[in-house]
Amino acid sequence: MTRALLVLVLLGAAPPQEESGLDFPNDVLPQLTRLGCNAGSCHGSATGQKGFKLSLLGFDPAWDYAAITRELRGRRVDLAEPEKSLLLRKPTRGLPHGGGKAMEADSEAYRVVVAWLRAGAPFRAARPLELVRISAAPGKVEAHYSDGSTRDVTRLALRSSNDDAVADPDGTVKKPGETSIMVRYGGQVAAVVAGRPFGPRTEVTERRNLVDDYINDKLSRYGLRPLPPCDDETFLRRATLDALGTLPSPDEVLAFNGDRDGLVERLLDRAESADYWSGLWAKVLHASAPAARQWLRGRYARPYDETVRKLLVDEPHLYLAIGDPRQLAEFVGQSLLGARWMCAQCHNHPFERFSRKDYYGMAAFFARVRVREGRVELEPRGELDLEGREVRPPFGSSPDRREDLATWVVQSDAFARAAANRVWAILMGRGLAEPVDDLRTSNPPSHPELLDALAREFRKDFSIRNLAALVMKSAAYARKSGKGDAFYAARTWKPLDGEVLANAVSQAARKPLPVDRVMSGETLARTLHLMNSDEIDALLVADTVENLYLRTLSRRPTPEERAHWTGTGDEYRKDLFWALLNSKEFGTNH
Amino acid sequence: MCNRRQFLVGSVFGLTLADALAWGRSRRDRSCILVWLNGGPSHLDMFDLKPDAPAEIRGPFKPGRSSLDGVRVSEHLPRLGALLDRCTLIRSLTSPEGNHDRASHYLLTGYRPTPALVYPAFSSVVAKEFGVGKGLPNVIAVPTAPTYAGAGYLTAAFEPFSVNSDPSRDFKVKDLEAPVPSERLDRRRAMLAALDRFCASVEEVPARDTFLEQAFGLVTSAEARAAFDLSREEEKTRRRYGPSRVGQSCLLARRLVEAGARFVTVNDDGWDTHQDIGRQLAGNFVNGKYGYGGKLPELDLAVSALLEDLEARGLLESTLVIVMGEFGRTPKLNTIGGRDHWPRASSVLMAGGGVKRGAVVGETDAMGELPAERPLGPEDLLRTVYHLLGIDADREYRTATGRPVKVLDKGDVIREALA
Repeated sequence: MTRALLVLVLLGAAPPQEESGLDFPNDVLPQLTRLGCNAGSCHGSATGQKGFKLSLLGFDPAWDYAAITRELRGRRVDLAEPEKSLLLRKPTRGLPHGGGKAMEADSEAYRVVVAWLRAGAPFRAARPLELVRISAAPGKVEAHYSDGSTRDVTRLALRSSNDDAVADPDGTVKKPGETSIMVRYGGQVAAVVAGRPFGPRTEVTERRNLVDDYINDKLSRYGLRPLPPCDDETFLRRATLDALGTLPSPDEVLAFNGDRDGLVERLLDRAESADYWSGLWAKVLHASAPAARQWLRGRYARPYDETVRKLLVDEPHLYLAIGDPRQLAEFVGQSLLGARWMCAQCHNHPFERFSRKDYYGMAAFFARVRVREGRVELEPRGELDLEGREVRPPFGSSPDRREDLATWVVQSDAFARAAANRVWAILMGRGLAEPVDDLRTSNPPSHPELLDALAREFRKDFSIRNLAALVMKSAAYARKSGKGDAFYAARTWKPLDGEVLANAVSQAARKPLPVDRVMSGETLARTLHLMNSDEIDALLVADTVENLYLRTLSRRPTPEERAHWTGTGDEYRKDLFWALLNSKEFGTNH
Repeated sequence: MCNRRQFLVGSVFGLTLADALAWGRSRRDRSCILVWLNGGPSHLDMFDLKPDAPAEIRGPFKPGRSSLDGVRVSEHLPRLGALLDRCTLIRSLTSPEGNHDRASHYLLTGYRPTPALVYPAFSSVVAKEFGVGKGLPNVIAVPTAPTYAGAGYLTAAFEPFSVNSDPSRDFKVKDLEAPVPSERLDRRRAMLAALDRFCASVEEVPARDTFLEQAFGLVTSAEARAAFDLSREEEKTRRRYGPSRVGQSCLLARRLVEAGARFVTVNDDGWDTHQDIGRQLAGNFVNGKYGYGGKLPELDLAVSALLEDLEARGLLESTLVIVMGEFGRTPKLNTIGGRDHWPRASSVLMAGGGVKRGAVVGETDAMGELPAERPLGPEDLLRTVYHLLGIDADREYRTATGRPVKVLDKGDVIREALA
């Protein structure tokens, strides 16, 4: 039975060439990759193992070929007696192997390697095939070659599920929900969406703007029903916290007439909104120094692409914050384009087509930037070095290379998508792609068409404020909160940031809370501070139950709550104020 | 009377299954005190003297005796020298990281720093493995945690609790006591529970709920709070540890471990001795007597008191004590009489908690530049620590993005350091 299956399997994987047509990149290397020989924990690590180093997951076939056939005076392969090659004897434990038994002597991998060695261990077969791309569907991976041929590489490809509670790497869906499966083969990456509806198709019709078209479509397909819209008081608190980073005042709560779109516009036009949002963006753009923050605040109403161009080319702020060309390249990737390039500083990116050479090429845009006494200067010459070779930028010919880079950055799709994803994440509690700075083929967004649509809208005027308004006026933004997830059937509540929380406490008490570093982080010390400190104790005032609710939770108590808080006296009311400040409703934007 | 399985195991390995289980359990019951010499202690002036080297290398101090034959330590560490027969001294730790932050990350997490991920320090791994503690926090830093001694990619609930106060002057851990009497605290707690019940739309808030439970555990446990109260120690004991920050911090660490904490980091600043190393380390040493200051006399008093105190209380076998910093210092004195950063060689002192008594592991070359024998990396040291604390270092955790990461991906247990 086992043997019969093995034969079938072998036939299924038979390469398109004659037997002597086995080559290294398309036949041998994928087998080694599948066995894990070149994983980061084995010979693919930055230093290899016991003097034998392979490129991570077979990214660099030429390097691996040299390592296998030439290093160690060629002892790793024995063309006369293939079975005696170290390449086979070590992993089958014919000789001691630090990685244990990694290959069976009667396996497909073993036979492929032997056949290839018998054929003289060629790098390329007579009829060379170049892998152009891979395509993936649940349970199936195909490699597409330069001559137009394709090959089923399902069993050779590396597959991993982004959420293995929902789906296995082979695409088997285990429970209702959706995730994506990352597929890697021969240095190429692809992603497959795997999912199953929660129930029969639903009709979700509540639409406020284009955002809802995409959200509703997915809810319908997955058989989900969204929660109803939240009440006006909740919306006012939510929108005010999101737009201004502060609570609405009790007067604002009592005066709110329910015009939600009008409220969103008014809030986003307030100066506090520009203060708060430029502060959020200062963190993204490494512009936290006072001068940089002030500059960014002044530019908040201007188009974002122009601001980024000035940041990269005209202003010193970025270069005062980050000095190293490599870190500047990482900044461009992670902060501006939503791409984590840092893996590629030491090895080619394992989840993306982004090599060390690409990485140093991006860094080369900054190779001639120097900061002297707070001013940015350009050196006339100077290049970065990667393993003894000078690296130049991949494109551009301007005297100031940063101009070429800035033009490319702000015109790229990734730039608008990355910014749109961040705005969405700030308002909705999670990015359409998560993590927000990790947008890659192998990590697809939950709603790809929505992210494209938001990016298109953003490109019209590059206004962060207008994009925020679009999201805040959607039905998806205005739902009741609950256990939110990437389907957006409920609003995702989120804990208040340290600064927002400290402001909210002061606002509720109408007295300043002394600045204390302990408020900034989510720590046991902060919980103890809010519970026990003299500073908080000094802020507590006795007010009516209704007023205390308005000051802290920005709403009136429900009849049930009113009936619950029957106590009287100053101490009782101060204690209620204390409990409100420590409650999860106060500490979250819900 | 023993059953068949105990008999079988016993006959094969010379111990019963019950013994094996008890031994395994006792390892997982151990605590750890890390005395972190922030800035990088000079191996050449403390535990790895080179009296035969030229003057610009051997530095200002003479070798003093120790309780181990042929092993000499600085003349300013007489008490620790006398206790060396109870310790394992590692003299061949080596690392390529010569920047304070990068070196700290490597030594505290067992991973060289990468831009893609911050790893949890071993103290936070202890929190993850043994819980954050009810009442008294399990993982505490005195007065604050060193750089990169945090939870890394794990959740904020596993960060150490910083006492944020210097035990040697007006020591008080803020906000441990409720500002109201217990009836009112009970009422407040009931009010808070009611409010959280009314707010059904927000379910549990992970780190906040953990912290809230811990915080109530602390304010309602007089015993837990008493562990932070140094004034309960006898004057004699306080004097034995010395009046310095490191001394009183070590005393506090002993109190906390005695009360059940699993990991206490004593974070002592002032070891980045780029100039005038003689005076910085020895202080006012006049006529054979110490005046004030001096890192070595302070450390000598503090750690020797800690070891003796733990032993006297029967806690040394259950408490692993580690004394180290992020790197050693340059063998050659610089032009202003100091030593600069030198990660290629440094020393680590370990005692208690299953550590061998009276072992010296590795040695450096004649100039103290490189290990001459048994080079060991931070991952070897941490694998040994995890082994001693009963933590499986091959266990995989997951980062926020679901990436599987092992507690350690390299390193071997330093067998010579095990009792």
